[in-house]
Amino acid sequence: MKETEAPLTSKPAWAADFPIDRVEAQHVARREFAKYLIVVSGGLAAGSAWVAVRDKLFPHPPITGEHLICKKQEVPVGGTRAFTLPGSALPYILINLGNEEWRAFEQKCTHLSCAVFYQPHEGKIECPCHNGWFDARTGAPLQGPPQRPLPQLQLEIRGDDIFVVPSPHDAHAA
Amino acid sequence: MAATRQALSQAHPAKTNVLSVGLISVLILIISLQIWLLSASVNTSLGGHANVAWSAFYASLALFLVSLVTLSYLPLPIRVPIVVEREEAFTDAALAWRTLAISAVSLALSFAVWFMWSAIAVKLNDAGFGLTKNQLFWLTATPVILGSLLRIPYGLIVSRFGSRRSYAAVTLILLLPALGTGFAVQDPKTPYWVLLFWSAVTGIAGANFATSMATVTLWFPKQLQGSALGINGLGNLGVTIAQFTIPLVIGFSLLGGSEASPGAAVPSIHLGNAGFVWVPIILICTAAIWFGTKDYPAEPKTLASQLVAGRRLHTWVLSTLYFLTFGCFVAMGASLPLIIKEVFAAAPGGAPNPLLFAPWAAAIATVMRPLGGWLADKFGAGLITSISIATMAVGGFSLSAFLQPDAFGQFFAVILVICAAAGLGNGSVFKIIPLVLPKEAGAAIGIVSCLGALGGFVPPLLLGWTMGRLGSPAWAYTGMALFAILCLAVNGYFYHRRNSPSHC
Repeated sequence: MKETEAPLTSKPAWAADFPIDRVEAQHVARREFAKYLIVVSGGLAAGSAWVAVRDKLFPHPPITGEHLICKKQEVPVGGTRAFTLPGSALPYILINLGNEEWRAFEQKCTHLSCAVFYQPHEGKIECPCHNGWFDARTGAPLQGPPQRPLPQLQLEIRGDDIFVVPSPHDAHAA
Repeated sequence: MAATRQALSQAHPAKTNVLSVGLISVLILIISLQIWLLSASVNTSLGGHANVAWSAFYASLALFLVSLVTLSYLPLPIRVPIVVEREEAFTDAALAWRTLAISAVSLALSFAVWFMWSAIAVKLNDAGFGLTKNQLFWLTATPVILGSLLRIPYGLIVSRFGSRRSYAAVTLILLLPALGTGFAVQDPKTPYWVLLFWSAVTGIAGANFATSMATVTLWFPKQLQGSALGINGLGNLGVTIAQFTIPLVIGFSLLGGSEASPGAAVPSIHLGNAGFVWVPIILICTAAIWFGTKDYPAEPKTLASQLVAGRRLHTWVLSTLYFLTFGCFVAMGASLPLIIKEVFAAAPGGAPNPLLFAPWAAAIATVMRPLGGWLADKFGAGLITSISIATMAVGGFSLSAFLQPDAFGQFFAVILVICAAAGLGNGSVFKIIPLVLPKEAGAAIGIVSCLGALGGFVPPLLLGWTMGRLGSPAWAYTGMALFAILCLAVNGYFYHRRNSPSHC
């Protein structure tokens, strides 16, 4: 008897290399992708939760007490002076608008925290990073990427001295 | 939904793939909305308007829940055979329901006896005792701690000595604390250590919970156990009964001999009645258990075989879940006075009276318990536990939003929602115990209820600590929400997940 060869398998060679149908592979991939999207959705909900509760967990300490910045004579009309408050590293600028008008703002742009500068000719505050502009009287955003006003400090002038005092808004919030 | 899944599992993949694409588009839409909400809330909260952030969070959460629902419509990975659960036979229904009724009433009695010291303690100094605040605190706390610990042996005895004998015995020995306390508090010259001794003996009443639950679980088939254990849990109302009865009965003389002469300047208080009033009820309940129920016809199990429950993972998983659900509503009520003092003292119209609000928290949780058990029987204990814990997580998280003096109404409403969810959870968690630990149910009930009852002690301490250390109770509530989310994951893995071996 002649030895018979093993019969050829009915499947072609590619089927052994790629044993899973395209539609079935897609089926698995789409299921997994959809599940992944649901996890992302949960993550975004958790992120929103964090934003909501953050103010409660880490309340902003309001400014307490009065702090002397400088004398009036030290800042000319249209001039500015940078300062910080004790116990904090936040930079602030004091602006002399003229006509005995003084303002103090946080010196961080509300877009991406670049340092902002007062432009006396325009009467505005400029952020050079992305050409953002703020009103020098109110701190409101006028132009460019920033959406929120610059945080403002409450000032009090006694004789020649300029003081930072607790703002009535903060006292209400606390 | 089940029909949809069934149809999907039989459809050709080419067809279900189109559906997947549809679901993926919906999910991408949902995620885009969520990203928009998140960026809006970041922007406004940096600008100092936190309220927008809360609305954005609820919207984002709702969208996440919608995306979770789409999970149910995803095509199945494999063609899952549909298993039809066979219902267990329920032969001796009349006896079972009678046992349940007797057991629930006796449990209410036990809870009333257990909490008699908290009603007595507030009157002790009026009756001529001169005790400090600290001494009074220990008179009320000792029975709670001891009662919780004793639940472990009390759960064990049922399958060893039989349900009728065990339950009748533990009910009858309630005479000891009732009479002892009665005689001790009658005489204002009783030394403090004697009072403390009788308050410790009163602890045995709280352990009856484990015996009672272990008795009821024997008599009911699987598909009714949630409802049965939930109804038995109504015995918790005994606490409320004690709070209303005791102030009433100490007003007049039950046993004739009164030590305060009529017409004296001191208003006559018959404190002994707070103990004596339970004596006839104890005798009636013991008789009802002895003559009205039977020992469950099963081989008595050895104590060693029951102690195995301590080595089972399920016992500890269920203890964690019950620690959350039971501890939570106890803590919500117990911590209300502290929170009101710290946060709502400046509420418009004066600080709310905690005594007026605290009892509602416990009452709503107790009433929701049978509902939780019944829903668990109907829709699956895993699902109901998940829903209740998720509600607790969102509720605990939302409490932080109302920590302002003018928001007590909303704050208390959220507390009630949390307590209702906790009550549902109590009912459905207890249904899981006999399902996953059928052989050691008695011992497991003892351990789980012991840790749950102790759970009421921890959160108020935590709340006080976070307020002292971190400056805001928001930390404690957020911590509770995170613990609830952890429990949600644990429950999902063990009891809710479709493919889990202990799915129920």
